[in-house]
This record gives sequence, C-alpha cells and structure tokens, in this order.
Amino acid sequence: MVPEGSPAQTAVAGKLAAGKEPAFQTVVVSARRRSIKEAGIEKALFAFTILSSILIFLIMFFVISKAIPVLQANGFSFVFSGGWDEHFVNAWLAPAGEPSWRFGALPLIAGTLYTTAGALLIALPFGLGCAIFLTELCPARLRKPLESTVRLLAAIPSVIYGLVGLLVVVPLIADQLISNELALQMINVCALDGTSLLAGMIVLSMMIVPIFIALAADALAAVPRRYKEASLALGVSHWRTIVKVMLPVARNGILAGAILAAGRAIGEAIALSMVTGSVANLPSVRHGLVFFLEPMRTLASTIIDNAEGMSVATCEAALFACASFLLVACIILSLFARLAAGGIQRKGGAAGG
Amino acid sequence: MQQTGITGAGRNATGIGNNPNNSKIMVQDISSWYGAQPVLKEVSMPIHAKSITGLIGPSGCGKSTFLRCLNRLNDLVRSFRLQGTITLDGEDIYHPDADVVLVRRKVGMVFQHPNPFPMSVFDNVAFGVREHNRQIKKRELEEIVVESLQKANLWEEVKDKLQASGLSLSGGQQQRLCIARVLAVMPEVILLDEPCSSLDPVSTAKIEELLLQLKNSYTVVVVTHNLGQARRISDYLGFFLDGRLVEYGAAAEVITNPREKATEDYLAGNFG
Ligand SMILES: Nc1ncnc2c1ncn2[C@@H]1O[C@H](COP(=O)(O)OP(=O)(O)OP(=O)(O)O)[C@@H](O)[C@H]1O
Ligand SMILES: [Mg+2]
Repeated sequence: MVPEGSPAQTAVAGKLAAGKEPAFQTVVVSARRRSIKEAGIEKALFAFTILSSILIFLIMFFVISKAIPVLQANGFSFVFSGGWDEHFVNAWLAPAGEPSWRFGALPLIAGTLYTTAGALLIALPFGLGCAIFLTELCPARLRKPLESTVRLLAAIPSVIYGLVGLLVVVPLIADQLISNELALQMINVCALDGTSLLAGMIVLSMMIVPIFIALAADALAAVPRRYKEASLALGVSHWRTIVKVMLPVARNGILAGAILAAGRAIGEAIALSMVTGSVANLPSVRHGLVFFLEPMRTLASTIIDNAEGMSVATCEAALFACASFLLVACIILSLFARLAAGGIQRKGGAAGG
Repeated sequence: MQQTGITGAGRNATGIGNNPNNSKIMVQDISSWYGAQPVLKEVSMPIHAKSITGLIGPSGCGKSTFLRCLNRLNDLVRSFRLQGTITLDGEDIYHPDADVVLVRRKVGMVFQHPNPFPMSVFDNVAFGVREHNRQIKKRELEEIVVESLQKANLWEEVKDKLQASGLSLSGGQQQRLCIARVLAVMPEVILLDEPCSSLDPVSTAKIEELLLQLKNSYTVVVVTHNLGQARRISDYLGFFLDGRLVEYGAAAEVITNPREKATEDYLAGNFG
C-alpha cells in the first residue's frame, strides 16, 4: 500500500490532473501537497517534543546523580539541620585528601518555603482583586492600557525587580522597621540591615503578581457570559455574581495561575539573592516579628551565590543537592498545574454536552 | 429585604400611578441605541398582568433588545443607550434612584439557550433564594426548591438526582430547570427569550403548557419565532419590524385581523 501523501501518490495525482477533470484534480493535488507539508511539520514537532522530554529526563538524571553523594553522606540531616555557610567554607577549605561531606540545608529549604509562601500570601489576594477589577469593574477605557501594563510587568527580568528591591524596599525596611536598639539586641544572631525575609517576600510578590493577574484575568474573562447574565437576571448583585458564580467557574484557571506563580517564586534566584542578605540564616519565630527582618537565603539564591564553590567536588555535590530539591518541587507543581488544567477541560466538556 | 418599591423611597417618577387596564409594565416611547446604531424606535406598549404577551418579528428587529430593556440587562452593554420610560407598577425602572438589582428580582428572565449554572440541580434552584435570603433555614429552602421544580414540571424527572450537575440534564430539562430557578426567587414578571428555540417538539409542548399555567400567577412576556406557538399561548401579541412596534393588540385580533399590511405578510410567512 502506498502511504498517504507519498511522492508516488502525488505523481499519480499529477498525471490524473493532466487528464480529465483538471480543476478538481488541481484542488486535490494542492490539498495533498499541503497535507505532505503538514505531516512534515507534525513530525518535526513530534520529534522536538520527544527530544525535549528526553532532555528533561537527562537533566533530572544528571542533577540527581550529582547530588547523591551529599544526600547519602548526610541522610535526613541534610534537610533537618542547619549550618550551611560554615559547612560550605569547611568543604571549600578541606584538604584534597579528606573532603568534608557535611552539609545542612534546613535554612535554605525553609527559606525557600518562607519566601514562596509569603509572596503567595501577598500576591494571590492582591492579584485576584486586581484581576476582578480589570475584568469586571474597571471602566472600558482603562482596561486595555491596564492589561498591557500588567503583561509588560510580567515580562520584566527579575534582576530589575531585585534592583528596585535593593534601592527601595530594603532601605524602607531598614529605616522604618529596624531601630538601632533592635539591631544591637540581635547582633549575636544576625545582622539586621534591611536585607531580610520580608524584603524577599515583598520583592518576590511584586515579581509574581503580574503573571498571576494576567492568568487570573484571562480565567475570569473566559467565564461564559451566560452564567453572569443568568445570575444578574435573578436579581443577584454584580459583586455576589462575581463571588458566587464567576470565581467558582474560573477556579481552575485561577489555580493554574497560582501554581505558575508559585513555580516562578520557588525558582527565583537573582532578585532574592539581592535583597535577602544572602546568609544561610534560619529566621526564627521565637524572635517574634523580628522573624521577618532577619536575613536569609533560598535554595535558588544559594546555587548562584555559592557557585564559585563548584570547583570543589563536595561543594558541587551540595549545590546539586539544592538543585535537585528545586527540580522536584517544580515537577510536583507542574503536576498540580496539569491536574488543574485537566479540571478545566473536564468542566468544559460537561458544559458542551 | 422586603421592599415595596424599586426606588426604596417608593417614589413615582412619572406620575402614572394607577395602572390603566391592569398593565403591570408600561413602556412609553422608548428608543434605544447600541453605540450609534438605532435599534428600538419609539416603542410604546403596555404589558398586562397575569397574561402572556407574545413578541414576534423577523430576526434582528430588536425583540431581544426590547425584552432586555424590561429587566435592565442591557445595562451590561456599555454602548447601550435608552430614551423614554419603562414603569413597573408605576415606578420608573430606569430612574436614577431605581435599584436595578431589585428590578431584576421582580422581573425574572429565561434565556434563549438553557444556561443552568455548573452546579447541582438543587443548587441551581437554591442559588437565587440563598442569595436573597442568606439566613434561610435549610428546611424552608428545600421546600422552595421542591415547589419550584414542581411548578416547572420538572420535579418528577429530577427528584432522584438533585445532586447531579444541572449540565447533565437534557436540553428541555435544562430549560425547565432555568424556569424553576426563576420561579424560586418569586418574581412578578417572567421574560422568556425564545425559550423553545433549541428544544424538540415534546419539550416545547411541555414548556408551552407550563407557561399557560404560569400566567395564572405571573406576568409573562415571550419572544418567539414560532407563529404557531405565539397563536397557542399568547393573550396579547406585539409585532416588531425594524425596531418599531408595528402592531400590538389582543392576540386573536392581531392574528385573524391584522391592521397593518406588514403584519399580514409576516403572519402569512412572506418574510422573516
Ligand atoms: N450587544 C450588542 N451590541 C451591539 N449591537 C447589538 C447588541 N445586541 C444586539 N445588537 C443589534 O441590535 C439589533 C437587534 O438585535 P436583537 O438581538 O434585539 O434582535 P432580535 O429581534 O432578538 O433578533 P433574533 O430574532 O435573531 O434574536 C441587531 O441589529 C443587533 O445587531
Ligand atoms: Mg433575539
């Protein structure tokens, strides 16, 4: 059998085209050419997809295999103990004959969780409010310009946010929230100079809020008009319609936006390394609200800030261990995102049927 | 919650307090535009209480626009503009002090395409009731839901699947669910915009029967493309053409003895 769209078949079609029904055959031939082209594109895309999934697996394999010596040497204490900066210096200075494998990444892991959670806590409610305002409440004239602004903000490189953080947020925290007495009081724990968990949370939330607004606004705008009209026509106020009808319908899309924002927050390195003080200090809740003012560092920032240690095998392995934690966290998040997106499709299908 | 007038103060903006001919709604000389495009042109028409007013006319003549003026749903369209007055029980529904939410509570609407919420059958009917009375007791709510489903002739078909999604019902059932949803909030007027256009003859018959029952307690306005349906159910009939109300009167009169040539042509099926 001749496969569809093969050269042989095209040739046959070409001969026929010269024969009886020229107009009709020309259409067939051009359609066939198109289908050959499309099949080619399809195959290329398929190959790219396969290639990129193989790449992802290779990266994962590479990162985790590099991390294994450190994870084996430390076991659970890698996750549950601190002292990273000290360990890192020790490993870096250790004589070649007796490498130091001891690492404790608790401050980094906790720091990543703190900044991400804090940023989400600020960004999600604020972003949702903005998305609702954009899609439902703002005057028509303002909507387009505001939307483009939000999309522009989402595209700004993170280092710019880091700069803004360093020039605005950090000094503000230092001036407004940290008194000399407080700094003195804490001097044996850590230096309070404005670079802090709080600065990290704020800068990170500024970074992720535009993406989240854009995605949440898209999700809200995609809510079928018929639901909104039905609710309003029942004499339900606009606000209650938004809360009780539109948000639930848009829920999965909003969730997907939140997950994407979380992914960006977890992986952010540069901006955080600029504003959090870059010390592997574990902010302690025992210090009360000072918790937020303590310097710290996340996993991603650590990989950047300690990158010069890569030349030492032990340090390299420790950084790859950080990377593997990030990788796993992101994979879990993207699985959640898939689930949320699946939910959207199921809903859409049911609505269609 | 229980307000009498839509303006709260019960103000009568136009001074037409006592309704002549027991008309529930008076439409007086309204013209409307979407942007610069005129749609309705100087339409005046009473809508009588406890009867069915049918609206017919060729596609694009402004029937839906007219209907959506009656519950101010056109307010959603930013470019929409209206001139003239519409009074409900003598009160101007477009008065600056009028409470649009209250207007819509009194004037319910059923849409051309069934649009149940993506919620359970029960919640679809309960939604509006809960919103209007957030302290309502579960018992009371259940009673209202059951009663509304019964009135909408849907109860027998859904009583065993109240928790199933409203979207899982058939098209005809969905449309009756939408009617039940409107009945549950106890409106005074029910607007229906081609409620049967996406339904099969059996579902259509069920809905027509339902409308005939409803007119005993509600004021009903139905837009329809189906002349047979207009004949079967309406007490009053309005014929729209190109944004104008060309003919209006008792349904039997309009159908058997139209005053205008255009109406005659339309009824004869010559256009539209
Ligand atoms: N939201 C809108 N924005 C702009 N123009 C509109 C809008 N809705 C309706 N129109 C215009 O108003 C005119 C009347 O529309 P309308 O929907 O009222 O007609 P109709 O009589 O209901 O027609 P059909 O029988 O097809 O439903 C049409 O020309 C339409 O293009
Ligand atoms: Mg219409």
